[in-house]
Amino acid sequence: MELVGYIGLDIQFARLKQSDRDRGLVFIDMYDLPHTDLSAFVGLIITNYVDEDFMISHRSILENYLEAGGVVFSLAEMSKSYLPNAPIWHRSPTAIKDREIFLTEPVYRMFEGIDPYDLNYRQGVKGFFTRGYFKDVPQEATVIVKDELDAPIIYVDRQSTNGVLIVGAGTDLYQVYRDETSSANRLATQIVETIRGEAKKRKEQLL
Amino acid sequence: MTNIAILTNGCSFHKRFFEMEEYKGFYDDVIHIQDLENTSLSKYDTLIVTERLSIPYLKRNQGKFIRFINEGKRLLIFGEVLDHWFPTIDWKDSEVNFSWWVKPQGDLPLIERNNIHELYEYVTLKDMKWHYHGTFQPPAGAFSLVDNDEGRSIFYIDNVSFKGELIVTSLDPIFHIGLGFIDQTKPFMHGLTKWLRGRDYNVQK
Repeated sequence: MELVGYIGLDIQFARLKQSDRDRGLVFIDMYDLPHTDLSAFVGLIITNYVDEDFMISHRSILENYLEAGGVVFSLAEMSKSYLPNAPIWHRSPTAIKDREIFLTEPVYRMFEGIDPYDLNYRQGVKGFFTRGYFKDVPQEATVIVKDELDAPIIYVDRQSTNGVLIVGAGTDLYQVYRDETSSANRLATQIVETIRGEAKKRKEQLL
Repeated sequence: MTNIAILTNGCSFHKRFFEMEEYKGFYDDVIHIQDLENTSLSKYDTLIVTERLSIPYLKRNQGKFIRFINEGKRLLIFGEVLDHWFPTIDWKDSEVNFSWWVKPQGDLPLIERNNIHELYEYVTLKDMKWHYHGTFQPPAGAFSLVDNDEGRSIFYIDNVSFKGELIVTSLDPIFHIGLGFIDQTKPFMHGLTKWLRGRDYNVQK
């Protein structure tokens, strides 16, 4: 099985369940990053539970991983950027109750078959998906999710490095929706499959 | 004058909380948990352990926490106490009920305990009601301030197990204020600050 690293602090909310491991996720304590052979993983998910100071001082680890053709999906609400060309997160001026996300066309593979309503609401509660946005994304990047003000929420950058960088404006999309009974339940599996798909495509391009 | 240190893990939600003027009164100094091992706590009488800190680092500093509270000082622990990272604390995971407030007649059953305690002069039960991720069984001699409907505590104080005072809550206000998600946490933090600092303290709002 092609494995995907799931990077975070070792806390309750970053620990994985058996169903996550069955999908091919492997938890990596972020403080172990300097001692981890990341070439074992086709992709990495960075949670919002990361020590930014540490990530900044060790930013070459992820840069090298991307330069080697790896796929990184960041879900961190970065106040300082430690990913190539990635902007920092800004809090949305829109009240959470009025906030809405939209999937851009064509819908990115990760979100295929998912009703945006099920991403906006969990059991009638709004705000889980994101409270922030990006002001500037890299020029060549593809925005795959926007908000009601047309601001980028998630983008894919295939130009800045040899790898693929998918950057989201917050929320651990993987964990938040993995146990939903709505169409959003598909997201966890589709995140892992999308990372694998991007990694395969990039590997073929680099050959 | 109370001198309060607070721990951080350098997460973005911590940084955003520390940037907010209205909560500056809650703490005097911020200590990164990676620096804790080599930081003297002698000038502090209160140490706040924020929620969602690295469990391995909390464990590594366990002796330091015990020594601190056994100097007669106050240790306030928020959030999840996994893997028994601090002795005497009995933690149990809960299924989080985050949507009770949008349901017709929805409620999160919580019960006020020992409401003659001074904290209740500054904080109401409603102020502590958003959700919780786990509960505690306070040790003998400790007392709960808030129980859930199964009789387990989400906020208790232990003045008997150590020389100092141990305050334990599974509430997670700092995380949510930093995220900008769940405004219900704000009055709680203002009230808690008043209680920690003393009734004459002017909390900026």
